[in-house]
Amino acid sequence: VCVAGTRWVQTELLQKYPAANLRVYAVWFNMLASDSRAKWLATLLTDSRVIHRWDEPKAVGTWYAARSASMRPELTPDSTWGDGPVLWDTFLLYAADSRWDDAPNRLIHWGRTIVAGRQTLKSDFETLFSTKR
Amino acid sequence: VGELGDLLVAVKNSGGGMRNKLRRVAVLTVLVAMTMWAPSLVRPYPVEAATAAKLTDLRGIDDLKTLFNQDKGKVRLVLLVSPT
Repeated sequence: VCVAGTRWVQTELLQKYPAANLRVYAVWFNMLASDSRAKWLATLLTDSRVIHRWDEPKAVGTWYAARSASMRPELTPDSTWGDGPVLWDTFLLYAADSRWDDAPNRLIHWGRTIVAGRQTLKSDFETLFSTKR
Repeated sequence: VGELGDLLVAVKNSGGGMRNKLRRVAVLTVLVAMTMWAPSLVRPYPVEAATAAKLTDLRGIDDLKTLFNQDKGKVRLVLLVSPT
């Protein structure tokens, strides 16, 4: 599922907005029995604006899951999240003036799964980067 | 066979000039054929060259926080994903 979502981000967003002033943090971790670091595909998200990190203890997913209630208003309409212990297969889009003190502010939208929330993410890109195609 | 023989005689009689022309035509034909039938021989990399993605270990949530704040001024997209 994550592979389909990340491939969509690469082909439908990053390739279509090559001039967008954007940074992507791809935080990878095991969630399914079939997952492992060895199965990470270097060919999936190849845009130079992407930074890849391997998060073995699932620290970021756990951190976000604990704060998901406060982010609920920004969840895309097509998304579902049942308050599990680790947030995954998820995107979170932040404005250019966002700053992370206790937590990152200026969250525009977040979606789960990436595929389920993709129309909102695509629409946000159109709004943010309409002149950057 | 007769026509080919006539052609060879004509090439022989014309000296090096005709031979050079034929050689140029042959080289050009081979190059065109390579481009059409085996583009990878001419262009050994994809047109949309991929950046070599690199995966490094995250050193805790503060690692992401530091990166995030360093990139202030850019729209930022966080993806929480598993490899399969």
